[in-house]
Amino acid sequence: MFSREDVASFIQRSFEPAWEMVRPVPIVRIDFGNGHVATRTLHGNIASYVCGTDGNVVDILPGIYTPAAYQAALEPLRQLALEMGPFSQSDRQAQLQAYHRTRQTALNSAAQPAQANPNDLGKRRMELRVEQLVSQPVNPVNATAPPARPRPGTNLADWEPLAVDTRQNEQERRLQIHTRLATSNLLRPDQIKTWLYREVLHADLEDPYLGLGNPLFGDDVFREVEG
Amino acid sequence: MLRSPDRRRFLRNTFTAGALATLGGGQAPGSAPREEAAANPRVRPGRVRWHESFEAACAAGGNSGKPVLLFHMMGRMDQKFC
Repeated sequence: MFSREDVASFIQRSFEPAWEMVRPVPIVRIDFGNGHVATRTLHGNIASYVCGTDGNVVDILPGIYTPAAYQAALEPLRQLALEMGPFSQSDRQAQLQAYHRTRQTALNSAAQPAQANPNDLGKRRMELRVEQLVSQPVNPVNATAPPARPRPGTNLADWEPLAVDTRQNEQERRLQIHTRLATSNLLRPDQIKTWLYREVLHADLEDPYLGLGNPLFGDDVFREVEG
Repeated sequence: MLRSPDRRRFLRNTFTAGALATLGGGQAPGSAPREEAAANPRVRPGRVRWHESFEAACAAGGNSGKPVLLFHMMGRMDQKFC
């Protein structure tokens, strides 16, 4: 997404941008022994924090968005951050709590979404095949067929599963964030990222295997040897 | 069976070789080991001109008046697999 000119230009003129690695990304590398090596990532997930220049969080966009939706979601947050600027810290905290309560109420009042899917539909389609390779299904006969992935050359900005992820992010995940921030003091990103990744993005940063420990080692006779 | 001086020399040389291998494989903070760099090569982190750190972005925002956008991810933006 950040390779797109429209997104990059928008970010550059609207924000002072920075990125941080929350943890190394799990990588699966299969060496086929004949010189061919396949490399894929597992369990990547992202969060975008809009912060004031004091480093405190104004709001958070969780997960993956389509480029257009990303810009559309960031713009009001940019304006909100600018409006917060002149206030004192205590006033800013009160204003932000009120903002998050308002957004929480609005999302709760919105039409109920379909059954919540804890995993990004688009991201899961990209990664599920790799996870199925890494952790053998308990009953291979009934193993779920790998979902369709986008064809090579597909414009991911128009890929429907990504749009589904975006809607889930905007409805369910942002509701979780608004609920949390409605009662929080001012927070810096590093004070909330562990909660965000565990509760909203379903990737526990404190789990060294990111939830794959049991499927990988649960019935592994060599588990004690490998430690 | 090695005599004591030979054993001490063997253990000393083994320990030294192991320490050198560890030091030789050590890296400056924030950089990837050579073998990892080959397996996950560096790439341009998109078209955005990212600040070096969150703190630097906040300081820049203090001058420009712009709010800060912090992007959190697993892996590194400047590596192919992230």
